Amino acid sequence: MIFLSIVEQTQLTKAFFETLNLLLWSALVSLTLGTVIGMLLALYEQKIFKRYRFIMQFISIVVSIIRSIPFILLMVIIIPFSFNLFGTSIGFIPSIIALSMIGIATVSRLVEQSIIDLNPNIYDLAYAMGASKMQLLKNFLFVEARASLILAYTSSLVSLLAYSSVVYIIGGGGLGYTAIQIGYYSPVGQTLMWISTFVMVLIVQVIQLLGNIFANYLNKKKRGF
Amino acid sequence: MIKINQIKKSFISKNNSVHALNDISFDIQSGEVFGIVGKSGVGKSTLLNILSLSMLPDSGHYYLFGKDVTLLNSNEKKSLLLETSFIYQNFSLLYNLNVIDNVSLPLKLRGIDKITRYIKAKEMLSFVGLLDKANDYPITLSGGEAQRISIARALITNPKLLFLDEPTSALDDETAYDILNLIKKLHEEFKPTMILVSHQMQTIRYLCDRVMVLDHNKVKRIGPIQKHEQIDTSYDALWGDQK
Repeated sequence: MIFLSIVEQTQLTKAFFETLNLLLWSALVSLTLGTVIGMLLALYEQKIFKRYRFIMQFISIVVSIIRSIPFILLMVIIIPFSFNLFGTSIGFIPSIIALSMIGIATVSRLVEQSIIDLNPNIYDLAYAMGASKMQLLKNFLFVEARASLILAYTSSLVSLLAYSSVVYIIGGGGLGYTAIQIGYYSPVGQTLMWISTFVMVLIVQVIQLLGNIFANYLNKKKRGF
Repeated sequence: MIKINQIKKSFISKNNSVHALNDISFDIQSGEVFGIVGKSGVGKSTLLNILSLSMLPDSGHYYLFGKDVTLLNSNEKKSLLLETSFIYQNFSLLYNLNVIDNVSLPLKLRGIDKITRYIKAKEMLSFVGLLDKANDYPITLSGGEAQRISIARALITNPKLLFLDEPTSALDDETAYDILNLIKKLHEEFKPTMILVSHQMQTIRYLCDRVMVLDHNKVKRIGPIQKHEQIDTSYDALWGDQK
């Protein structure tokens, strides 16, 4: 911080908390809805929810489309929706909507994969014990996939952080704003750009470290714990 | 207890209908140990899937505890499943749960409180001789220990009907013999009806009262087992006919 002026320090601190705020709210929405959608898609793959074939296929296509759209375009595309729904086309709310949309799509595919990777015998076991669908999710799938889910969430949070660095384009602020708009584009802003980047790297390292520790703690499938 | 009447099951494969089971009929009495044997692909697994309610026959009737399973809705089937348990070839333990939580899982699904289900789980662990492993995780267990835990889990609900799918196939001979003795002991103590599917003749011979041989997706032969000292691995030897 000694390399930055007082003004830059204030800008960096503000940007840091903006990034955390963006990450917190988008993660909350993404992890919750992404997990639900991912679980439904995985169960559909296992021929559960056969009756809702049309809905499940529709959800799967929507998830794929959102993941295919470059994030910078997704932000622009949702501007009219944000304006009609919330009366604002720039700032925090459209940024959260864009981040949440890409976050839900990312989390749902990772959760789906974590569940699909489980030994398929688990479904027979749950059925033979007379488990309901909720019990199958809670007492079997979540239990066996929990470490893999934590790693999926960790990976999604890191992606959300990366995406959050460009929401300054629609007025979302954050460390991307200080790194590029104030740092890179300013003839004297190189230091701010590098420190903003360093802070983002630091956040990623903390998220990854915590994710790994928690996943390892929950994973009892390895010897020597 | 069980009555199977002319059931048929086919699967569609590349636009062809493949018969998995053809006109299968038999009865199983309460408390009996009934074996199902046959070569690979004769329909043993399909029959076990039908008997354990995870598959319906295309035609015919299956009566379990006096109810025609082919006419039941999913809730009625679930209530029948609560009277049955399964012992698998690959043990099917949950690797992120410790032993006592694995054993008590069926009681948890029935909404029984933790203290009661742990007391019952400890009784079952004591029965299979692994009370000291209660807090271990399945990854630390040997194959024989894992199968004992699987047996404890199957017994905890005191089932009327127990399905055993190749229970000793994944084990070495010595461990398999210990498991067979344990299964015999559990039958003497808890008296469940048992349906055993196995390709291991010594397993069938050691445990079963009656046996059914499936061949070309049909019942080839069915009847009580003759115990012999001589080793004969032909199916006919089960009834005393020597090579």
